[in-house]
Amino acid sequence: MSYLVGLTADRGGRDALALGRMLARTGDVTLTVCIVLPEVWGHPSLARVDAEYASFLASYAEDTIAEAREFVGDAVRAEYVSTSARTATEGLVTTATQTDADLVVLGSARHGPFGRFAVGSVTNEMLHTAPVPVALTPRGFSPSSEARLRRITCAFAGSTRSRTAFDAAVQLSRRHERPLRLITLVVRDRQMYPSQVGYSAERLVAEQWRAQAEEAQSNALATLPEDVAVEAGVVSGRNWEEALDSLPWEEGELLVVGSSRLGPVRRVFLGSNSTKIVRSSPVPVVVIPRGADVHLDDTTVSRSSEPER
Amino acid sequence: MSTSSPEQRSVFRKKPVEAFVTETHPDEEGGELSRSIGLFQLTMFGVGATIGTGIFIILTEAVPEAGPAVIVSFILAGITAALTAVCYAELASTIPVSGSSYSYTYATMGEIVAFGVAACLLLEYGVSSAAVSVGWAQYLDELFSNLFGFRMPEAILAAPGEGGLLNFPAIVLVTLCCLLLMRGARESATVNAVMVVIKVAVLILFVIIAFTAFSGENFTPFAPLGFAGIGVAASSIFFTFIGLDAVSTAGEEVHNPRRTLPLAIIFATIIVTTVYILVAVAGIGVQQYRAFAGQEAGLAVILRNITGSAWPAAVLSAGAVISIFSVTLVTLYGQTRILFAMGRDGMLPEVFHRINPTSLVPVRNTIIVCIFVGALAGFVPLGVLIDLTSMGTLVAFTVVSIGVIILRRTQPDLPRGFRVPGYPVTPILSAGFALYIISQLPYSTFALFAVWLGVAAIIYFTYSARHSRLARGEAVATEEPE
Repeated sequence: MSYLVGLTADRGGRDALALGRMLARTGDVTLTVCIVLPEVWGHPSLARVDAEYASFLASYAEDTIAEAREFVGDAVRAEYVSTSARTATEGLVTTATQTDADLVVLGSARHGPFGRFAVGSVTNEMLHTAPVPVALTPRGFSPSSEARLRRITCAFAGSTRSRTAFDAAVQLSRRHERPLRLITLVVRDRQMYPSQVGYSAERLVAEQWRAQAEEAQSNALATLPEDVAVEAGVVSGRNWEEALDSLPWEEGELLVVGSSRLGPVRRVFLGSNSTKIVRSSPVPVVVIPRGADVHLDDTTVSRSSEPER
Repeated sequence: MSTSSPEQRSVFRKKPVEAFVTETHPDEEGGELSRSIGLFQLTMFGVGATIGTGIFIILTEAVPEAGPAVIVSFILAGITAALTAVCYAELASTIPVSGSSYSYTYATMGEIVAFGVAACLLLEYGVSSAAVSVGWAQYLDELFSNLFGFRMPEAILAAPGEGGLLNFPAIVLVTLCCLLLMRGARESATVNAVMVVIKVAVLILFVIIAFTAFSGENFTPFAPLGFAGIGVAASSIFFTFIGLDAVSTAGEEVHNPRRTLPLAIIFATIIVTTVYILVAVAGIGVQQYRAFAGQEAGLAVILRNITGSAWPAAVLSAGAVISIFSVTLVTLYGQTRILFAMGRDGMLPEVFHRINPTSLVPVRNTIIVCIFVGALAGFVPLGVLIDLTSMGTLVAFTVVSIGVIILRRTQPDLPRGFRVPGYPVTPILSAGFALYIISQLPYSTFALFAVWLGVAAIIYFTYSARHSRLARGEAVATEEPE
């Protein structure tokens, strides 16, 4: 298994590296830490300015990688590469394909609150084009250097889409030999004002949703192999953040969410609910592409996948 | 009378109040929701839900029926609305569940009555949103005409009975609202406040401009059609007071409901009635009462006639287009949630209470409602829709008023967050007023209403009576709350 970490010289890159290190401590995982550099001109330029730039880039990459190597330490298997590409996304996707990566780990953009994830431009593009699951690291994610993955939580809505997420979570859980937790979020902040049918109408809807979710959960759990330790539950809150915060989270947790419809107009990869979960989650989130190969595990049956560009 | 087991076989079986309460408060942490709505906000809910349902279109229908005495009709309808709203508030505070008078009746008068009330509510919500979107179409056309000098062809602007093929803009409006509701869009309290400001502002604009052309002569004769005319007009006008229930149903989320509820109902009624009467007086001051007949987008046309310029009419039309949109959204929403509650009780097929896992909204329910409402809006003339709406609403309100009396007798000890002041006079007066106004509706409306109830009865006896969860002994006390 190979996990790709998108390295940058800033705090976001460091956070991603910390997550990669944590994940690689369990399961049979090799990290590929990759820094993407801008492409330089292939042909001679005036006064060799571009060559000078190229050598600057090379030493910059070397420094960053050296720092990363020191940060990761020897406890996990890791390779360090630098690659040149027109865009960071392109470089990451190419490297992911070359190294046959099973997961891409990315850091957060600088805006957004500490302890949560904010989608930046590279993440956004990756979320639209990545053929493999993407792990998103909250800002300021800093587990202890000995931290290990402890539990996988899957956000489950009972739809076909979350079925993919569920499968992926099961595979992650088997690979890393960690227990699985299945949760459905019930959010109640959707009341209409004014309302002629009472201001508790949405609680009725929320209750029906809870009942449906529990049914879907038990259906999903029935298909689960014996060797996976699992717990299931429904949590509710007035909004996504409150619902997610009402769960007990420990160090070393990972949340798995599905991704959304691939519309004909725009390939929106992260749906509105997943977006809210990603934004509100206090722990790293793994987003599973819909319909893409979920080959997180050797034993996986690969799904029909549309060719990703 | 008690809800003993042999009664489970009867179509008059009642759903215990406790069962309703368990269904909406299963989780403890969410059970005690903050009582967060205050008097001002609640009044705004009432005003926001009410203004916009009809005042933009009702003068065309009501003024020719009564002449200048339509002012009296407005007062009559306003008093009736306020009285029924107070009764409604008592039931709502006793049985704090959603589903409005359908649920209250289910608990007090039995299943078959509840089903009949639900059929009436389909008129109050479903048919009224159709009526309101027809009005929207008129103002949209008026807005286009004032801004771009472009008028839509009559064929796509009127129902078949009124010389067109279909009302296309009305269908568009229902579709737009449908899409929003399917995505889980909501109108927030803030948006409501903005809407109230827009509505009241454009109506005041109308009043101010219309008063510049005021002529007292238009008020004689005051009641050309006598008292009968006043009653007939009141029966159409009642339609414009739909939405006051937005106050009544707030019971358990209100600070100090005993004081807040009646005050909010009274304030909202006073504000709404005052605005309506000002608009009516200003309108009649401009033109003879006969001139109102057949005026589409009436208020805007009056402004255009007075000023001779397009902009005041354009501003008013724009205000109407925006605010009617929000009213349609709110009423359609109400309709879907009533059907949702009925689906939960097994009165309607499962499809009405399945929730889409992505949008967390009963999507199919919403689609069905919007197709139904869209068809009404596209193909049924406005006058018919308005009278049917008034009919359904008044019948539902009458049943609610009687329900207050019944529940006081059968379950006097039930905790009530709010009690009707002046019991038993208030509910009796309320029912009396409502029945009087009903009696003034045209024959054709009674005929249509009878057909409608007939259809409801067929559905009830072929489907609901057999699938009712209460009848099957399921779930009355529901599963144990976790």
